[in-house]
Amino acid sequence: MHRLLRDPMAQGLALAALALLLALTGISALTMQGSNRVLFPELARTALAEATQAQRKIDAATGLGIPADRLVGVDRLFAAMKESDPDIAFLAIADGERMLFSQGRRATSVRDLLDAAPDQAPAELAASQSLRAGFLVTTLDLAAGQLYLGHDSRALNKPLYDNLIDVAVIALVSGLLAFEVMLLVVVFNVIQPVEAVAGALRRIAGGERVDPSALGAGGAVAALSARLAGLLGIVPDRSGRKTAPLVSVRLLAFLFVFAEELGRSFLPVFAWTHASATPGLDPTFATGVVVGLHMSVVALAMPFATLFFPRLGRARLYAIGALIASAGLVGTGLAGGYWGLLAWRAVSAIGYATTYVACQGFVIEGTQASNRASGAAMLVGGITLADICGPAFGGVLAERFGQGETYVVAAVIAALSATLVTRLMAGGARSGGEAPRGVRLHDFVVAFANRRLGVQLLFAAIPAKLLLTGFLYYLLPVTLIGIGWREADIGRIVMIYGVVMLVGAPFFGRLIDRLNNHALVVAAGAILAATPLLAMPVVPVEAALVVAIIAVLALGSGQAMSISAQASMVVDMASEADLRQGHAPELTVLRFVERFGGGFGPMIAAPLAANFGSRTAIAGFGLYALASALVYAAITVRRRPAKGGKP
Amino acid sequence: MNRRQLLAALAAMPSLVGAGRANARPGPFRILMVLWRGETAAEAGFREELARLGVAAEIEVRDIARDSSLLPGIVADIRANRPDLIYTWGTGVTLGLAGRWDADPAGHVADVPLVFTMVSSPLATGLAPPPDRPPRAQLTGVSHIAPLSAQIAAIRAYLAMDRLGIVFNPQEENSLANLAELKALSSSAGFRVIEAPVPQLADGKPDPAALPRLVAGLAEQGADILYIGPDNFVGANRDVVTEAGIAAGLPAFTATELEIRESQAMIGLVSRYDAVGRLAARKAKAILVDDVAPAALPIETLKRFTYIIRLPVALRLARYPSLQLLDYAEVIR
Repeated sequence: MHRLLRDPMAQGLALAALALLLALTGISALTMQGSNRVLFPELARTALAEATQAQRKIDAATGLGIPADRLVGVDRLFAAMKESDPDIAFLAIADGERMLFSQGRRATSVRDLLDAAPDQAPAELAASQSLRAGFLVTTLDLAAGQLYLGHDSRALNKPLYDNLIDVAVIALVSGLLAFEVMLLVVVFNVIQPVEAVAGALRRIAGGERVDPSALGAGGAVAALSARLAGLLGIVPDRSGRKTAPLVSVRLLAFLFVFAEELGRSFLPVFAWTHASATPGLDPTFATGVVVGLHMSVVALAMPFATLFFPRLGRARLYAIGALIASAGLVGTGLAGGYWGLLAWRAVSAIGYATTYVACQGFVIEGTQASNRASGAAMLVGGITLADICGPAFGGVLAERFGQGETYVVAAVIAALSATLVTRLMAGGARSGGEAPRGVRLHDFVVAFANRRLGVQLLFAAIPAKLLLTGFLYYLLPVTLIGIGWREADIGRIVMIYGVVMLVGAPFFGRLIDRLNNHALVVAAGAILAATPLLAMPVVPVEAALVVAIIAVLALGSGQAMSISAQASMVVDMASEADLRQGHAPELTVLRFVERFGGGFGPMIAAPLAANFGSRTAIAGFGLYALASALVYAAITVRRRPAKGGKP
Repeated sequence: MNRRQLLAALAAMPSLVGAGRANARPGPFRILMVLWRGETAAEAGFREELARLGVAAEIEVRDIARDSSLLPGIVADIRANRPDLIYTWGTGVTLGLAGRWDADPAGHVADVPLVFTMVSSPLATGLAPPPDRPPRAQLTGVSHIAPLSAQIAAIRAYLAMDRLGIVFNPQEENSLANLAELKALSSSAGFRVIEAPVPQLADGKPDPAALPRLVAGLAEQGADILYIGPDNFVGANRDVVTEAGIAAGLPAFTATELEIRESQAMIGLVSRYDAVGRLAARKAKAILVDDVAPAALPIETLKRFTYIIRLPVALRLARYPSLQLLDYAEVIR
């Protein structure tokens, strides 16, 4: 920790993050203040309009000769007013000192309120309005008596507090995005040039020849670099194309996954709108198909995208993929009907697969076998961050601007990544001519001959993926929207999964190493992920949100445990010969089957939800995952096995 | 074929081509209007709508002035003169001319299109066949009464009602039909019907002097509302009935317009008579001009009704309408 604090890089980042935080806090505070000035008069005006409407109805009745104390339906009037404006606290009608009617609060309580001195009134209030003990009271004269309408003045702050959470989400996403950009800028302008100069100095110290391009560094050390070149009598070569640092893959992966994840929180509802408007379709199944299609098409498209990698190279492949994804997202947002939506989702998936393969290729080309894992971790890091930010941000956008419009924004982000790729994936140096490798037929032959892989797939990998896609991607949004929660709320809950995965992965990695029983960890993770889902149908509706949050936490934790242990186990299943050649067919097939099969999760979830209700369907998925986990545990878990659980 | 033969053939053709379109002439059409008690707003609406639709018609009015014995003579006249269309007012007149659906057509009119209005229960009175039977070939019409369930809902929109009191003339088919429907509805709708049939005088006619006593009796038995059905006798004595109700603290509900507009019922869910006449006119136009068979035109009621509150009665009885009712009811002051 001390070393980290003294690290100039960390210090710089911390400073930058602090500056960003201060700026965002300042903007948010100013927004809140400004909102106050706009919202309060609006509330006061609404209160006056509502009171005036009630006044008219009552005067019309008493004008017909109905005595004020014999009015019928005042309770229903109050109920109707409160239904359209939940911030209304009370309605009272008085005849001088006598309180004839009091709805929402007891008559004595209203009388006490009216007798007390009013609070300091803001300038925006009408003459008939006052603030009293936390209520905005509007007083109007009736033809026979007075009318008092009370609004809870906490209503003033309600829209602000509602906004606060959304502002926090946007602040978080902005912060994370700024961090990514900052990281890239620092690497490009400082770290890379400094490393080039340091490398040149090491070569000089070793008596070796210095490559002129190493002293062509720009950025923060341009002067030093030029000076050094001058001392050595070397003409620095600035003409060569700079090779982009591998860390660029984080931002590139972040952008294309972020674009896709923006729609995560509301895609089932969006798809339902189209499916239910198309004759001849079973809308529930059709909705499930839309939600699941993307994953399956990605799985199918990836092997084909790898075929284009050698010819196009990573930058062009990424750009093409990003543009295809962008077109797919625009098409999704503007789709006129169900079939169009389905087609555009497939296009978007093809673009996603293509950009993913390009990023994989970038990692392979930029690393050796010794550091490939950390290269891959950068890619995964960018994706995980996008998994966190995308749903939450998209939920806020969808609520404010509309669901279709959010997809258009996603398309713009995807297109933006295409414009950045030239710089961020610059350089063509290949390490050993390796290219990303898609799944091949031979891989299936090898993999399915492996009985242990079959067990892993059937009882661990596939249930986990179905749980993710069926519950998190479909049933959770559908359930929560069905009980009145908004897209932004759902986005925040889906975000929890990503956060837990991000935070949990290194923690559980250490746990896995210590336990030395991967199968046990996989089983335990699966049980943890499945168990809370069983509670969903039995809890009251008011508690459903809390249970959903717990379920997502458990899902994220359980899957963080299982996924890394599983990957290790499956790699160990590969033959020595394959491993020496640098690939594990079992793992490749696992990834493919997971991704392709995962697409079926929503297609199973949708009809289940339609027939039994979404909360029961959630429990159904939980039961399936739990049963699979128990069977898996019974088959595979041994006491203190050798590493990886090989029999 | 020479020219003369061709002309003769062409002249003969309309009788071949027009075999199914005997009435598809531009008019003026001869319409016979047979009324129970003179012209009402329904007939005015009928005439105005026909004119608006551009249907030229010569309307002959036969007012039987509540004397049903005149109806057989009118049947004979119809057979002799064959108007293009018959318009009838009320159950009694319509039954007298068209008969029940299952009656022998010999004594009735079966081959001239007939459009009725102001029939409260076409099905219950036997004018219309049951739903599982085909409709009558030459009969259609407009009922002016809101469905019973709507009437009960209208009463309950004003006041709580568990007991519904009804004074009725047991000699009137439509009254009996209405009562039967109320009883059938009562168990599912959660109310009890308290009946007060009007006794007969020596000459067999209903006794109007019994009305105040009958109404008071309903109040004593705990009726929450005095229901005035489509009963012609009660309608003719509406002032007596409603005033008796007020005296006994019993508000009256009516499904027919006159009892609230021109008498002292407190609540009404009514069709506007002129709207009924207009709907009948549209059916008449379809039959006469568009050559639509009467069987193809359903017997129907209006889609919308007017909720009427007679305020002076409400104030007298201290039974005040709610703020919600005042939003949409027509208030007679």
